[in-house]
Amino acid sequence: MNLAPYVVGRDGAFGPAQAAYLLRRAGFGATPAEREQAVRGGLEATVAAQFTLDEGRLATQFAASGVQVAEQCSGAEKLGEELPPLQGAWLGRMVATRAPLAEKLALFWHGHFATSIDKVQLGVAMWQQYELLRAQGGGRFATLVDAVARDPAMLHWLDGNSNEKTAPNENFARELFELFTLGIGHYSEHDIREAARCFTGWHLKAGRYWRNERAHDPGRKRVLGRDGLEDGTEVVAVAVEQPACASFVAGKLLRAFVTDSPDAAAIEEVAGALREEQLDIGATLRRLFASRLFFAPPHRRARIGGPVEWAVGLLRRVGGRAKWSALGGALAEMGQSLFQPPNVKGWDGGRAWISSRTLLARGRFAAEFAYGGGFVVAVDWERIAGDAIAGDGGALVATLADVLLDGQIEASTRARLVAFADSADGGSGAERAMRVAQLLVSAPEALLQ
Amino acid sequence: MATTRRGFLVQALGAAATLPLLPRFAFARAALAAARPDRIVVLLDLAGGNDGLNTVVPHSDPLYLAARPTLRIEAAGLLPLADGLGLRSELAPLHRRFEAGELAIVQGVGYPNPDLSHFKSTDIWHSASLTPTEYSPGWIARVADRPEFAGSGRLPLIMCGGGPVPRAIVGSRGPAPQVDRIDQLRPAAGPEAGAAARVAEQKAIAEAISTSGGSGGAALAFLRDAARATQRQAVQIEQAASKGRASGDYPAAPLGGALRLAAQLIGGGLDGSAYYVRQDGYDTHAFQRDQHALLLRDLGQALGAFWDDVVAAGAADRVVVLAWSEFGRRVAENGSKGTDHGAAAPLFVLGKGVRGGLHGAAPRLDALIDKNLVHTTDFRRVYAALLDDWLEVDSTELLGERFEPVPVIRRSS
Repeated sequence: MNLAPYVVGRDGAFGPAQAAYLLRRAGFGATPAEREQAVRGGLEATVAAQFTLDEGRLATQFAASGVQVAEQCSGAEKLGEELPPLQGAWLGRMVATRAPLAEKLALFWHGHFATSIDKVQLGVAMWQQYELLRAQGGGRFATLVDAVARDPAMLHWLDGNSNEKTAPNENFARELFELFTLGIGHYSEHDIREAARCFTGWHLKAGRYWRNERAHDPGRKRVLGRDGLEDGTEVVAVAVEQPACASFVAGKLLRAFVTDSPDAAAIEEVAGALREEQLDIGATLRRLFASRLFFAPPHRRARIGGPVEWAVGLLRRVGGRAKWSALGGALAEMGQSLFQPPNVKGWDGGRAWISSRTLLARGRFAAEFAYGGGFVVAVDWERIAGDAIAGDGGALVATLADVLLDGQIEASTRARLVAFADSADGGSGAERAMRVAQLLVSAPEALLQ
Repeated sequence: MATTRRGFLVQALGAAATLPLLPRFAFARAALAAARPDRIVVLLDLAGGNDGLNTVVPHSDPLYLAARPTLRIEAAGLLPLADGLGLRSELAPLHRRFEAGELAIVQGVGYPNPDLSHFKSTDIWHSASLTPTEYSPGWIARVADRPEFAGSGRLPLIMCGGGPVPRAIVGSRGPAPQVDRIDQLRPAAGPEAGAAARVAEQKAIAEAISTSGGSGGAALAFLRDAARATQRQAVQIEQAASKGRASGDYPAAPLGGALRLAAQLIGGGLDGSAYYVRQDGYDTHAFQRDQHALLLRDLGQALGAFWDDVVAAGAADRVVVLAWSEFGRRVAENGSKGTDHGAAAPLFVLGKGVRGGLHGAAPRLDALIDKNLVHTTDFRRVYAALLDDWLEVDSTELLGERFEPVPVIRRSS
């Protein structure tokens, strides 16, 4: 069987370290209290809890924010005015949500079906695509791809809306195979041309998908070795049935949830589970999060966190709030502008997150996060640090490292920070906590998620 | 050991007499010690696949006119390059350099079995390998890794502008520095009280983490190196920026800002051997006409302003610009008034050290493969020219194979 379960006791413990790891990967990280609750509940219950979509009282608030975004976008007079409210609404939701995995999956699929407002130029359509990715991100992959293929933002983004039978446009067909389902090497140029014919006439009418029969090529096509295909929906079905599809999706899931550099064996294990689950993403993740593969110690710190998950995680850990649209702009400088991926391949992730430009931007966020006063509402460090606020350097550093980084700092970093906190430069009271928090968050290891 | 006829001649005539028999690369090898880290290559990546046929336009070819019923550019709107060939008027600043003999246009550039994926083809161009892997270092990064270029605190590579850092400038040491705003180069300190101490602590923390003992393994080692390099590079870049000036008339588009920054840093004496700048947006699958014209206008204006600034800084004989795209576009337009991914396309090489004019054969519109143009010049022959004749390093060693340089560089005597 693929993805052998992690048996607590036989394979290791489910203590604070394992719980923290699970909650970092399945969500945006947890507070010490949430971590303790997970340990008490046990592995099985904690994994199951990740899959709830219930927002409780927040549901009404989120629905209202969706309406508000649509209004702000419709009222925007200039290009570029739509992006801040879009980014702000999503970021605010990520920080507040009670269902972090749903948001994390939406973020994952946003990078997978990477669509940018720069070309779509319709904020409302971008928000609708986000809601689609959030609602269906944990379901069957085939259903998701079919829905994305008809999604208005996608029909603008890859020119489906202007795909005519007289001379088909290959843009969507190519990326469907190369980036959305199979990966390079598993289709031919002929498959792309024939698939493009199948998607002719997939247009928009009054902002919604419709099949424009006058533009659609009704002829029979041969795609990926299958004869007699007529419509794009059959192309999607054939593509997701290819053996390569499960492997392709498995590699991406592993990069998003486990490690920046998954090996071939791990990819095949997850691909096998995906096939067994008929490409049901939620069912596969449920098995992954409770597997030995997932908890293998080398994976514990094998991911460089992307800017969005990093900043959202920090704010959630301290109950922080921000002027969300300004946070969106700061994240763009760190290399991840939501609703505006760099190209149709999305963000490469891993080491590609890191450049001198993005590192300096992360450093600026670390300062803003610690001191507030700009777009981050000042954090109550006295509350966060508790008794340690007046304790020695060792106690303060341990407490803050526990809250902000699940205690995962290098011994050499800890030693320097303790010396700093105990020195005259460290200051005192809340000021001292802020300074230590800034240094902690801007340390290299703070970027490991 | 068998003595060949040639070997016999060498022995009989003595080494001096055999020089004319030696292939040209022997000279390139001999020139190795004189690599030119003082010279600069500006890599301008026209990302998305520029429509070469609508950039350097064969306006009189009936096959072109037939393939482009709505997108064709008429001769009247073009600047003359040769009989039947014109440059888009949006590129007027480049045409002036063409007339001055400082712009080389290499026609029909590509590689065998063209890959029509943006990402694969970009990787092929950036790595100079037809079978790139995720870890293939960029071709220019392989140069920058050499001691003559990477020695004593130099910054051999730098990316100007935002967006992802490309493979071309990722070498064995990790990504090259990237800057898009000078005012963002100082490490964040937070409020003034104790700011200097905190910056010093950040630096110390980045240095204190040991490579071997860390539980983060390779990922942490990478982050620590990146943090240390960032602190060091930011100081050097800021110093150069404070000395350099860029006063040209750049367009408001991101390309304008990126090339302005490159001009400022070159003028300020930053000893980088390669600058990487990207202009996005060339993936014109639909309604191409206006979008492509805007892109070319920004390109012409930005490159014109950049060149004026480089000349004003007295650096014109040290700088060469290479502007290329990962592929051209399909010969026949599609039903969306756009063009799908294609193959061969022209590229530009600009500089005082450049042998201007048209190079290579124009691709034939009557001999397409799979509806695409067939390349007449391998792109690695252009790289070979920049390596052998401009940076004066052995292209065979760096490209792993011998490519005859396209004679776009005036060879120094």
